[in-house]
Amino acid sequence: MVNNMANDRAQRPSLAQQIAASHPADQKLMAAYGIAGLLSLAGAFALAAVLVVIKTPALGLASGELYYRMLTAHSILGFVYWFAFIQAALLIAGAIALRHAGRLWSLKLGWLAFAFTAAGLVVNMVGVFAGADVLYTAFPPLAESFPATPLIYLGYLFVAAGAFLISFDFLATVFTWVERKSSLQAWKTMLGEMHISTFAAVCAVPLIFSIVLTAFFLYIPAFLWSMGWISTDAREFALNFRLTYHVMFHIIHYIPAMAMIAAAYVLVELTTGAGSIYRETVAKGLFLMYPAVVPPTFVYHLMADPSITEGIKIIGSALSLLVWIPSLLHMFIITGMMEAGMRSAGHGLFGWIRHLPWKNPAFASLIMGMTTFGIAGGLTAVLLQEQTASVLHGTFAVPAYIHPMVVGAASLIYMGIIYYAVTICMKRDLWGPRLARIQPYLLSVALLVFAWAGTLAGYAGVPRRTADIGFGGAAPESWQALMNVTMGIGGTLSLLAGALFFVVIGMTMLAGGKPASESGSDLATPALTRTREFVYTPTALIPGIIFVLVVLLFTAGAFGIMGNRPIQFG
Amino acid sequence: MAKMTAEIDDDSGTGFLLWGWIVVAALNLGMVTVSLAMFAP
Amino acid sequence: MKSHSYLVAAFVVAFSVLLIIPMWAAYGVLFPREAGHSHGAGETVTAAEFEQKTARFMKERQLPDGSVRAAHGEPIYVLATQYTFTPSTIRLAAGKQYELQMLSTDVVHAFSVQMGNTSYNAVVMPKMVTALKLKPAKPGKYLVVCNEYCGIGHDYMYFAVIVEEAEDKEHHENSSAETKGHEHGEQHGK
Repeated sequence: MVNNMANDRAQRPSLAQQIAASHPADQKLMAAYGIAGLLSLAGAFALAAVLVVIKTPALGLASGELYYRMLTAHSILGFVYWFAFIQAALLIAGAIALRHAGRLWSLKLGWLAFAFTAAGLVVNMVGVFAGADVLYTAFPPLAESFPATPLIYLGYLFVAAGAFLISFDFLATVFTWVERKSSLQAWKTMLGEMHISTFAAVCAVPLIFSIVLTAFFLYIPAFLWSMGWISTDAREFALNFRLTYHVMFHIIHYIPAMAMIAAAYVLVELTTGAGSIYRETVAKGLFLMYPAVVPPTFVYHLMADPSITEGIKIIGSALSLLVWIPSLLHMFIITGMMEAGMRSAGHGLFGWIRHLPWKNPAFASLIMGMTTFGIAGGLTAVLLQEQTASVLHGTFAVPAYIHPMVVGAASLIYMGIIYYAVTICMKRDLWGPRLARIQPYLLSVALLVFAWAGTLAGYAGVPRRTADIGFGGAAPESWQALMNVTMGIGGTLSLLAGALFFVVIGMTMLAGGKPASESGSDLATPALTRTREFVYTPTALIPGIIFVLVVLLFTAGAFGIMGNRPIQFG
Repeated sequence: MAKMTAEIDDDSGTGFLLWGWIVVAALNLGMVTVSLAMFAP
Repeated sequence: MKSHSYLVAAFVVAFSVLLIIPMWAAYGVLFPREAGHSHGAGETVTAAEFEQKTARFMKERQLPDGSVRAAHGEPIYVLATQYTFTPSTIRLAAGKQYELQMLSTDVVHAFSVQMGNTSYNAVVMPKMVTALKLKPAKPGKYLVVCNEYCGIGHDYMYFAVIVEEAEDKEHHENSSAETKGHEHGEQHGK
């Protein structure tokens, strides 16, 4: 199997060459999305700096006035727009860069989608800075008291429309790859030929359509209500809005999860030269699980709400456990690809790890991204379960896991892709390779400090979404120290790592040198000389085993805490 | 892993991918539609 | 081991996350909930009805110092509004079973009771009551904060629950601080 792959690959262009050969007009759209995404991310980081300053107790600047507005803007830029733009770019890449001579079905539609998304960004930001301090959730009874709220709902409708259009464009593109549409075999061949990451995108499309459908059912009434054009009791509306919102919300979380894993498959090939080791159909098939198991997970956000029964919460919890399964298996396969590739080049049982391209910033992004994904995933264990969610709901444990997940895992892996996309498409060398080398490690370590201290803070009861946690001196003393570490250390270092990334990428775009090879030396795909046939991957099992043990341990710990509380709750 | 030629290593299983996608897409949109019917404002 | 056996092993590892489910059952059996079960879907009431119930409860149970002493066996009503909880101090007796009923008159709030190195959290909604069963074990003064962002005064929305020894019901100066990491301070929200 390995020998066939080697011959196969000798005959076709490398993935990097294929990316470079994508059509310039399509690349332009992809670049527009990419740059808009990077600007959104930069904005989110800049606002995070303000938040870190306010929330570091030692600096004594805790104040609600600025905090809630900045928090709203930060979360909208980071969670909605950075992801909306960059994921659209990845979707387009899945169609054009991962397929020989791939062309997007309609550039006009692609640009229209971009226009909607960009319009959404403008509308939302105007709304926030005009005073809608409603957080990105913008729940109705609270939102009623802010006149600029309609702009929040309207902006969300625009970004949803943009997402729909680009996904439709993508799906249409995939359909054009089957010439004889009446032939079942032609469809099957097309799916077999498709790059695994493109297939991941195809599996994400139903999820995106579900999000858009729910968004329309949610934000159209919300917009009409907030403009006063329909009258409905805000309190009644609140319940339905909240339930519907969470149906949409958790599905939104899984787009970056899937896109991150798809990007990881591309990165593992670009950074280590590794190829698939098990039947590709198995790996592709795992992506099929997501559309099926994600919808029940919305219950996760409602564990502490009175609006659904205990029975539904328990069933929802149980079903939600299933979403870990495809992710764990993908992590195993990707790690296994690395292991098999390295060990067939002659490296030892654990020695292969030393010989990985740790200096490649894209590889560092990949490996640290996957590790952080596992750690952040483990931290969600207690929040996910009906019995234990009450220990952490609404506490700082929530942002403590969210940030390593969306920044330390998904965004970091996207950054790895961006290192390649910028250098390959612009035909430049990476600027500041030494800075680039440390950036992914700094970001993940910083976020893990944030996660660890923040989780301890959450267990200690520190609330989330609260500017001043002193409570008139009644709050436990430990809270100050925990938040100083979380924000003062974890937060500040994360900002530094983010700044490094923007400097490196920005300077590469503006001043990167022309490369001698296709990509800068750190980013080059190593040539693995295969000295033997090797597809055994015992080491790749270890992360998964650790994850399961950690999850079971955290759960047992939560039950222990619950049993020993000074006030017992039913 | 990008396959460029028409030959693929192993054709079996692509049927599973095709029907599987149709089934899970339907399941997904179905579950969300039911949720909307129950909850939407 | 053949190569695909590792894939099979990976599937086994992945599916073993489902072992969490028997853990729920085991803990349910080994550590049954002393306070009984709540978390059911709440009943729907209007704010006016609930305000009446709260007012009546406070009238019956209020003490000269402004705090309210709850009687076990009858519900404790707590009204959440921007930005106060009413009543603002509740006294409970250790070892007795209580039922708490909470409602918001305006936006979504939350009930987050701080117990030293852990907390218990529940959401308080407008229109649908949050009903909780509780049984305090250790005497002490417990800070309860709102941890669902509810507007500009959110940071100042909190109240206190004081748990007294069951025998000391007559002596309501008792606020022995047995619990870890507590500060005694302001009780009133703005």
